[in-house]
Amino acid sequence: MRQTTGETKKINRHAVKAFLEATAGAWALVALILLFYSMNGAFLNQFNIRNLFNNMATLLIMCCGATLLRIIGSLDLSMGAVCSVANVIFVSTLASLGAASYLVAIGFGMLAGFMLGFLHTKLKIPSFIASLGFMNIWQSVALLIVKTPFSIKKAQQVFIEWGKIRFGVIDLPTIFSIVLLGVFALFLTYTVAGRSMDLIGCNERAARLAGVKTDRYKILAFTITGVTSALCGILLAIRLRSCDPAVGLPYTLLAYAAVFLIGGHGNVLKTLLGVGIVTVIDNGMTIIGVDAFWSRIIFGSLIIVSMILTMDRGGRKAIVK
Amino acid sequence: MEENKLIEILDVSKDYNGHPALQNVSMHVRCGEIVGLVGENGAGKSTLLKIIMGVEALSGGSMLIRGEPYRPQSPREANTKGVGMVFQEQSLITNLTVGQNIFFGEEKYFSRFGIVNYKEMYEEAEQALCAVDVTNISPRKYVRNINFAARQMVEIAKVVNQANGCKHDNAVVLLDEPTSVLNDAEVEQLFVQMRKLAASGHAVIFVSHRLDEVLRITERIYVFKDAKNAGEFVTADTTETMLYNAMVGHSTTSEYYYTDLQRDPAEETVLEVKELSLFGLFKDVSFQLRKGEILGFCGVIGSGKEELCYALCGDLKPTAGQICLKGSPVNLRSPAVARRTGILMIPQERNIEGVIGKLSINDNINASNLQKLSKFGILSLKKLAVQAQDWIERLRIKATSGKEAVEQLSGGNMQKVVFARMLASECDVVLLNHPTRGVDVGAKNEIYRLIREMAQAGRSIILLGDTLDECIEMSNRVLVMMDGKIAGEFDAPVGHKPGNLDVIQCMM
Repeated sequence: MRQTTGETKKINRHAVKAFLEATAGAWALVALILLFYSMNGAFLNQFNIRNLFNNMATLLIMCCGATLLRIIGSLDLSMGAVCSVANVIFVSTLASLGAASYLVAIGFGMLAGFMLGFLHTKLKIPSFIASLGFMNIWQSVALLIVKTPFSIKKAQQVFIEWGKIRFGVIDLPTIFSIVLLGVFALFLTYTVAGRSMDLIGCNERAARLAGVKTDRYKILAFTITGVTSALCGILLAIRLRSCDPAVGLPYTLLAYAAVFLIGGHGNVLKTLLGVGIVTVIDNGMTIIGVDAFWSRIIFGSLIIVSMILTMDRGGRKAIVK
Repeated sequence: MEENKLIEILDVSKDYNGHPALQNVSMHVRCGEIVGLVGENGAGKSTLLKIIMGVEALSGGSMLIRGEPYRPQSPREANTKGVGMVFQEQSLITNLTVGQNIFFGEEKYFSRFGIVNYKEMYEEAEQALCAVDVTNISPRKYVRNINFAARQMVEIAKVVNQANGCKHDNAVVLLDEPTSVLNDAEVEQLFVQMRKLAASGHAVIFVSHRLDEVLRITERIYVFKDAKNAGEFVTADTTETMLYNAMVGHSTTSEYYYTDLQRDPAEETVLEVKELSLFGLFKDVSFQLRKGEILGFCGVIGSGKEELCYALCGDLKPTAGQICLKGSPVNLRSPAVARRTGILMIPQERNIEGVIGKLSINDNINASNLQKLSKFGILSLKKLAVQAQDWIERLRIKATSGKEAVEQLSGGNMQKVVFARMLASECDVVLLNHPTRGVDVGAKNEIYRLIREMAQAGRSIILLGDTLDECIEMSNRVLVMMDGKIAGEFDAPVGHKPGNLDVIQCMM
């Protein structure tokens, strides 16, 4: 009798441990929220909650693309720079093109992503290196298009008015970002492209020999990432009602902190949690009055620590190719 | 006599994930003796050498060196005990110089306060090269700038130098197929060095596929077959035929390979390969494959059959020649294109190239035909699961459910998953690259049956067998490759299978 209870206890403890491990990210998020709330009650007032959701929306959109890249085991350091260029293209063409400037900015993101994917797959340049080059190129391009930040004129604000619509504390762009994440979840489960990306990420060699079009789907992943980066740039323009050639700069770091935060094979739920945690830390530090210069130290360390905790050190399977 | 034995191998066994690579192998080498080690690919020769070198740990048995227990944990430890090896795959570091390679890991003997005295090192390297009569290679040259034969001599110089340098008088030198990249004159030079080594009291173990060389240079020969020691011969009273017989042996039954299910192929030619070449790997390979035919390819490693297989599945790009499928020429740019035209390969390295271990059985089975199960790129998860379940039942894959990760399965079941994927893809031409490698006997038997059923269903099969027996017994026709060319062709109808000896003689 005593033995059985001992065993059940063991099983229970095991189950509890597994449950805690699986939900560790969610607990961390709750703990962080409580921590910041206890340090400053204003953290959870209506104004800041809306702020949190808005901050989350832009990062989440960029992270949708970064999730795909994580799944196929690549990296794009130029996401933030693409975001900046899309941001300035969008705002500076708004006067002449009107609503079509949405398409121009998205088209730019698509092209930037495609070029990177093409260089990486066809010319076999590591994505890390190729995107490092592009990061600098796009950063300069953004500054060449617009030297200093300026606001969107009254006359053109009609095109970005939809960003103001809100339901309670949630703005329409936030809803858009959540829907986009849902689309990505469906994409990964229900489409040939999405499943193929999973196959490629888990064993590219085997996927190739099984007849999966590895190059095509990798280029697709990069192209989609370019588009999400551009969408992030557009959303930032809408929220800030202005353009800024350096607006995307901090986003690459934040996006990778969010995407790599929760280990194992990538998926959209982990990305959502990661984005939540990163946004809460970022915003919370401002609320409790931490010097802004600390933020890069925090997020840089966050990436390294989460890698140390979750890296698969099997040897062959490097996370970034 | 007893103290004369330099190294003794006693009942050594080794298995990889339950698959035996060596079973109770015993041998010994005396001082001043050159011993040959021969056997088919996969007979366990290289495994034994790796164990002696400390690259792999043995799973059973023991070894003695100079009468003392010997169990090296690393090649470095083996070196200090006076054991050195020239590896089959060249182990020199190409972006270092010859001298740096010879003294790799021993730089501290030339350094003062952490600064290496290269002049001294190169002088000693020159002496080391002179010791093996190599005078035309400058130790200051980079290894990437010298040819393969020269590299081989550098490797030998390195090992001989280690052998002479160790604190023991007698060293053991292992040579794993050192002659495969050498021409006749260089082979002679190598043999002179080997005799010199033996004359100065060292022991040499010589592994080679070239039996004539083994018979010329050695004093005794051990033959390995199926991971076991199949015989010990004194070279003086041995002929090539005796070695062949011992290497091949006979333990097969037609029942095991379901020979009664073998059918004659249809007249229709499905795949025609015309003078296909890939520079440096194979040349002018032409053959036809008929509907329902099993065509076996034999040849030693390096004969070009593996590369030919990869070229046929679109993974390697041939430099010349043509592939025709059902009469029309095809351009196989990638495995994806090959799959769409109807050619798919079952890869050789199951864990690296075959299965996607972290994903489920369902995902793996459906990997090759996602397009077929989708409409406008959208998949029906239900269809995927139904199809996978169907194959799991038909091939009797032992798993709790289709959602189980493939890496949890045994080797045989993993291979069945790869077969299920191939069958589901409905490709007409199937390349089986060592389909039974590393699976246990029972699963092997099931795979043979599956191959027979595939042929009966009208698929055309190219088989690169894991053993010669498998290749001959399973095939309707056998092509033998040697040095990148087709060296022989044998019809293998039921009841008139070609003899292993004839086939092997074509291979070497």
